[in-house]
Amino acid sequence: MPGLQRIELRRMTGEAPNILTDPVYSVDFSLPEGSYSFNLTMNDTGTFKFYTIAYDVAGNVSSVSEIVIVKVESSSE
Amino acid sequence: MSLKTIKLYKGDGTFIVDVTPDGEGNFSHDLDQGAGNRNVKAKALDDAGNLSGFSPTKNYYPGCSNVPVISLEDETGNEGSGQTNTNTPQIKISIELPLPTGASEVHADSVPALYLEYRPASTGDFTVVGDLTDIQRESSTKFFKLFTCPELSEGQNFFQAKWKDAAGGLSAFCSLFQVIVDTSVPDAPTINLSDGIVYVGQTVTISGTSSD
Repeated sequence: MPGLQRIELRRMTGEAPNILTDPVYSVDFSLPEGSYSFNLTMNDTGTFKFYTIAYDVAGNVSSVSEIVIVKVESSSE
Repeated sequence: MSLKTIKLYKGDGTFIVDVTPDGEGNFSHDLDQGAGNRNVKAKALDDAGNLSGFSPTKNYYPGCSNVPVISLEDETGNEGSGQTNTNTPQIKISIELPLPTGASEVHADSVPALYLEYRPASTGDFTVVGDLTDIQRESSTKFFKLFTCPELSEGQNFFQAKWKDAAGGLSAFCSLFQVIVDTSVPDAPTINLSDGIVYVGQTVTISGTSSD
């Protein structure tokens, strides 16, 4: 009886995704028709890498998504 | 001198019946005191008419209609969902029995076996696992057996169990217990980013889809 339970947005801290150690940045439990959305207000400068993973209701976890990169710059630059 | 008669009494001293022992003083009697908390004690009478004192009182509880309870040890979904992501999960069959008045615990011999069967769909024939022995004690009144399932089907599987008592009698079946097996992992999510370069204080949106 399949069904998604949640999507986790993780911030990649190393050279590759590691779901055991990478911190959970946010979680989306609503998942209408399997879609998700996270709005992130970036308060620090730097380069941040994020990916998502999906959990189903039976506790299975997907492989990780592709990685997206956000560069945050100071407004004075 | 030899024993002539064993006299059985209720715990309160009310006489029940005389029983004739064999030549070695052993005796057996099917005692029917009805269901519920019961007790019995005995005195021995020899050929010369000497009567012993009372034996220690034995407390027992015949006619118990309790049935086992099944739970899923390897539940990986929400609590109580019955969902697991392994097709060989471990289940727990438990039985709680009434504590006879005056006893400190239910005797371990009260649960020599728990009988189990299952079927891999909501209808159809059950596969008999049979008697599970080596029952463990959980508390003074509760006993259990852990059972690792054979490979179950994806989706619904149903279990039911009976308690076998010391006399070999079987209880009624417990309620059907459902285990939902889901071993398939969700698809990796797609991911989209609204803007890859932002200033401090600005918001980005990360979105995508996934399916199970």
